[in-house]
Amino acid sequence: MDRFREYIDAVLKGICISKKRKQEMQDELYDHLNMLKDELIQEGYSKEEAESIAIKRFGDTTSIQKELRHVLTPFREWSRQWRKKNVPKMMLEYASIVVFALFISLSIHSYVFAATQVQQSSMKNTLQEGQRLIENKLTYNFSKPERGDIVIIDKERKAGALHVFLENGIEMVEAFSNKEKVDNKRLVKRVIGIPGDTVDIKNGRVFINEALYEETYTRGDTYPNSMKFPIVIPEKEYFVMGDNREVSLDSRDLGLFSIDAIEGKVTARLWPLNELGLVE
Amino acid sequence: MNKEIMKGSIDILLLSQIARRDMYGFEIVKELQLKSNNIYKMSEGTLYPALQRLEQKMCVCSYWENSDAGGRRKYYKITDLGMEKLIKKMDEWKQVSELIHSCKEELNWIDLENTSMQF
Repeated sequence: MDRFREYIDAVLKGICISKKRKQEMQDELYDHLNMLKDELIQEGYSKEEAESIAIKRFGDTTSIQKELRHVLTPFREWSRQWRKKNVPKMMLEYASIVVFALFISLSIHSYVFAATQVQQSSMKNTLQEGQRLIENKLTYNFSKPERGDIVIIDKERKAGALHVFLENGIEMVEAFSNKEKVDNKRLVKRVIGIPGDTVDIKNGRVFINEALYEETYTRGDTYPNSMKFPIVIPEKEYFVMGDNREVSLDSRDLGLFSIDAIEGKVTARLWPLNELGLVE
Repeated sequence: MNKEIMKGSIDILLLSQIARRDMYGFEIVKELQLKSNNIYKMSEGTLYPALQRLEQKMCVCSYWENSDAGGRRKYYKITDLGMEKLIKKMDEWKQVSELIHSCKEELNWIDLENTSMQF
């Protein structure tokens, strides 16, 4: 068989067009190849050489075939390419990326740091309602809370990495489904008494280990409320109070908090912007 | 010639040749080669898909005649729609080419200035 016919058949193979149109394409390309061949023979090439060069000039069959497919059967070509893609696999890939991203962000939110909003006035004047804070959840894995630290307490918090992770996940879903929800299980307070301390409250002032505890951040006088003083703080327990002493609902009424209930340390203020910075 | 630059101008080149007189594929390649002083050889893999596309868009139509070699030969003829498209595309190209031209003139001027500074 003629080399040109062979080449043309290879080019048009698998292109779905009518017999008549296929014949037309064949004739047109055949005519062209023959003219190229004649020209090359006139230039001094042998018949075989001329045929090879002519075919070479047309280019390799796959690229010209691809071009023709796109033009002649565009719809077929789209669906062919679409079918080549493995759609379920693609979906799975996207889904796994989303799940992975959620996992990472939830992990960071659970263990490293989180942004929270102040909803009580019990820390006036240090923190105001509506301010946004950065809470460091990592620090108390390496060190113990110290006197003067501002901490976030979750009354219902249970220790254990998995538990913390699940709780955070549930809260995140809740936050998405109900934006107006007010977080009222968390408290923001200041650590006053650490394990081993003897805390006393007399004449509106705080005494630690029988020495007057100097406080510059308080608002109002400190009264014992419903707690009996002096009190010795046992291991792993903390005595916390809000800076707004006359208003704050804290250890004086709620009792001591265990280390497990302390979620993290407030380290920075994010909002409002003019008060952006570290919280002391 | 730069393939990227040629890409956008294939239709205009083909239409402008077919507009002059009815032509067959081989002839179009030859004409373009001649016009470009042998620099531009449009590949057949580009030509025929492009002609098919133009025919589908009704910018050209085709008819068959007997070739001197004995087979039949497909001739392309420009349509009114093809002519309209050609004129429009020519205008667009004129704008681009004028822009490039004036950009080039600016460059020449900077060149001159730099050389004169050296003296």
